[in-house]
Amino acid sequence: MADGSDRSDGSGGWTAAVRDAATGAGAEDRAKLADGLRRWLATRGVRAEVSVRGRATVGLSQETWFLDVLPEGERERVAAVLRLPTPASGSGSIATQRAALQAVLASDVPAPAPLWFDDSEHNPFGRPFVVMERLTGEAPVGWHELPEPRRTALAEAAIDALVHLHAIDLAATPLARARPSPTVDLDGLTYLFGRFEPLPAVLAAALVWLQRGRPPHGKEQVIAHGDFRMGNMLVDGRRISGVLDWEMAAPGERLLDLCWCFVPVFELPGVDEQALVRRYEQRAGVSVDPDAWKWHRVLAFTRLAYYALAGARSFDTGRSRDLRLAALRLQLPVTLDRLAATLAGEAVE
Amino acid sequence: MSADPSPVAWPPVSPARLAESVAALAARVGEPEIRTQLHALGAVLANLGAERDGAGERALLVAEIEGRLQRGESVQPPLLRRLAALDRAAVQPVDWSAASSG
Repeated sequence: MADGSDRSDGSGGWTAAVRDAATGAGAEDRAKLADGLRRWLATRGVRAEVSVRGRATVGLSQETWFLDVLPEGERERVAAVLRLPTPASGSGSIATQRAALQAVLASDVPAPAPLWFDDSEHNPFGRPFVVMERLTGEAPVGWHELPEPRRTALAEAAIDALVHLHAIDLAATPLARARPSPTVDLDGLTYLFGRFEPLPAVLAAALVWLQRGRPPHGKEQVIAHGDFRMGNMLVDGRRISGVLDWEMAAPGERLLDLCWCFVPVFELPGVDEQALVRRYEQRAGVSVDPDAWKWHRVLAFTRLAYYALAGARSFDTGRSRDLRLAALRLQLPVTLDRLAATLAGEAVE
Repeated sequence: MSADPSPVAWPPVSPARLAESVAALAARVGEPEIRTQLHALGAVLANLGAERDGAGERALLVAEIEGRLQRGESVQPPLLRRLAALDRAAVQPVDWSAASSG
């Protein structure tokens, strides 16, 4: 998603496409990356040929490169993805991704396996990086892009993946001490909104409503993906081949992910959300309180409003020239209308 | 665009016309990344100035809502709904699929 730090990436909301760089500059970039990874692997006792295919385009934050690694003595190339941070994303996001991928590795959550990583800057790239397996599939921007019955099948698969994720013992993973993004909770968002005052009136009223109606803080914390939605998933037919973009993973409440999964980021998802929530309840063995659900849904719309304002600010101040961020402000009235409808107990359109 | 009888230095250009032209340009561009940027630009052009549509009614609704908030009073959802619907009616929807994937 786009926020004030231009945090959105090729597989985090925008369909990734490999740029078939034919220019000298692109070829040089690829060669440098390949050489850097090859040298780093050698220091770990892995001699391998590395070839960088290209870069996922339309990303706004992290760099995502597609590459093949052929370890010495092996016959099969390993199709992989290299992720590097940018100044916008911050180097901590790589360590969080790495920890999250390790946490889910032995679970039934479909996710790329981490292959190699370095949390330090003491490597040929001068910044942390993670190399993960490259999974097959396509990355639809949103649920609305999927035709039925595939959409429902994938929505159910997403629920099942969430059940598996939330069932992992958080305390036994490296994520137990991870700090959630300020964009996923009310206090963090309230703080972030400070730089956009005066806020749109509907948004200001929503923040008051959220503060007054805050549900009791759930004692149960699970591994929350933080940005669990179609747009961050690879799909292959009716199967989710991989949940991507784990840089916001941290301890959190179940409803954070469950509510976010089908929130209309742009278009309405067109799924039977009540049936999907029931599926989650039955499979996770929990009960979703309707008032808490409404509160978290309003919070989700508030978060979307933040992204719209932050994206617009990023463009307006010259921090980004990406015209998608310029256009993101146009989603603000749509989001706030949906937020107001939720507060009023009306259908969201 | 509202008609303004004041003399102008040159004929004003229609944002809607600009948006159509940019969309046509996007359709001719092969590079996906450039296409997404052009689609985003077209959306911005199509909505230029529209943020002020309904200004009079908006000002009244905002004043009422902000007044209630400042006095610590609750703001009934229907009032929020009215303002939100007014704002949403002003925007021409963005084709986010085109603006994100080209």
